[in-house]
Amino acid sequence: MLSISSARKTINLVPTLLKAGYATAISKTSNGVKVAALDESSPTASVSLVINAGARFEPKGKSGIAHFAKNFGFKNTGKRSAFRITRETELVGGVLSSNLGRENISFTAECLKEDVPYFVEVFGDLVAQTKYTDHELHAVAKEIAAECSVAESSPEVAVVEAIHNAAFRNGLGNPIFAAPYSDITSSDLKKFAADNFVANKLALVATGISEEELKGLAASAFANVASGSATNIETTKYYGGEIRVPHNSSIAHIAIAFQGAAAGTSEFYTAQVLRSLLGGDRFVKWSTAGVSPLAAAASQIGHGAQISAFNFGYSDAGLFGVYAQAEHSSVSEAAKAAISSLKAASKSITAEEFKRALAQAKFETASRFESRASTNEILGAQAFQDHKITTIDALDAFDKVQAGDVSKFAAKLLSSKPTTVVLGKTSELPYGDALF
Amino acid sequence: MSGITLVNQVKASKFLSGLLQPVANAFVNAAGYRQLGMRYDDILREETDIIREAIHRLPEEENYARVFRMKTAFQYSLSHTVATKENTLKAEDDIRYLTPIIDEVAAEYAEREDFNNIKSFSK
Repeated sequence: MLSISSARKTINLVPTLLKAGYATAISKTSNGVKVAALDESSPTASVSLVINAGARFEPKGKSGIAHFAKNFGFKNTGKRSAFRITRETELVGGVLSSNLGRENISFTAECLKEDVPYFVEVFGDLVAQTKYTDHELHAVAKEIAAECSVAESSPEVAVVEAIHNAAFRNGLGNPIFAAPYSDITSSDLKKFAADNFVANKLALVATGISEEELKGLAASAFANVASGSATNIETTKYYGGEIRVPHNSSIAHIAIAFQGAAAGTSEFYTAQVLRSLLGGDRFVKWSTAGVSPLAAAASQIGHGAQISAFNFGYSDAGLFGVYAQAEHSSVSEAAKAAISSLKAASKSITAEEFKRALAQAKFETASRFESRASTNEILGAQAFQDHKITTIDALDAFDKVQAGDVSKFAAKLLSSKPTTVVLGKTSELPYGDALF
Repeated sequence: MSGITLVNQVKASKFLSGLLQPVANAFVNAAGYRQLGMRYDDILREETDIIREAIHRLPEEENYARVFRMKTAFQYSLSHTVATKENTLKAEDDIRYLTPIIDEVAAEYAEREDFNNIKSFSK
């Protein structure tokens, strides 16, 4: 939750960034590894290896392989054993993590500045020399089963997975968490790595180190990696539909999404403003209701009802929608209130509402550059889309958004086929078409 | 995995291997495990952490074949017989299927031991 004091700090920060020439250029090593860095004066650094081989690029019949590939990060390589990597990381005081998204797999090391070369070398081995042994596969499969059961017990995760699945079916609709039936062997993984862990699908991004230095390190660590070819993206098609998930919980969840905008497009910024306009977030701790229409609707329903808006942007598609959580008796009222807020926004938006939404959207975008994890994520995504967006560029893009654009975008959303996910005691929950 | 060995030197030298190969063959015949249909790696002492881990890492079909050979040997032993000449394991079938895995596991154990006894770390 954001407090007012932290908001003030960020707003002060923006002019300083301007002065520092906050620009990131995306360069490449000779075999095609993209390199982007954001040097800041701090004693620590964070390096991420981003591989453009997320869940959407899984080959047919190998559903869940990206999840396995993610969990095989930092396992035995030709040069170092998994044990050695762990111990050496501990000795230099680093933290390793792996992350899987719909578009990318990323491996991150956070460490002191002087240890960056070591971790870049480890990334080089990870890409070229991971052994994918059978005995490790058994351990990885167990980890994956545990991760999946944790994810399954979280209704929010289940709703987000289901809504992508219903909206896009394949590609972006592929689940991030491996399905219980996924049957992945070590030779599948070796093939997946050979096809996807190639220089043209790799990006090395970092904060806390200069780009030149990082490029030098990348050139030597990834020297033996085949160039391969960049990912061939099948154009994402939006389908829409309905998924009902039976779940034993006292709180029911309804999410309704529409075809949104791809990240980085001007329409995406409009969508961000609409998201902030509908709101639902509480900015002041312990406050009962915000000024946004969704927060007001939720507080009217009461009993812990929560309504919020979401906007997911991917390289070539997006998903915009509203999400209601409430007791089974009131959840359909909450979802209807959310839809009518969206309908109202498609008709007209007052200047005051627009001003508030614009400020919040700008703040949210600027604050994503505040944390190192999200900065690496942003840099990684930009490296593959080949457009560089700094905080300043993003804020400029927001200034071009007009109130009229936001209404028009809302109307456009409503004209697309809705995607509905209901989760809870499904026999008591409404069908999507009953909510409009 | 065991103490000092000169096996590589012996293998490299034509004279030494020529001298010792017949002795080795006589030893293997006297040991008699091939007459029970077993491979050398089947009769390694199982009760150590390293070998247990190595057996655990065997591919499934390799492990089944290992257990099958042991059962066969057990039957021969029960009936106080040995395999007929054509059923005796041939020298070229006496594959060291477990030894590479044992070496790998032993290296991992040694590495772990080194890190556990590390005194200082400098770059």
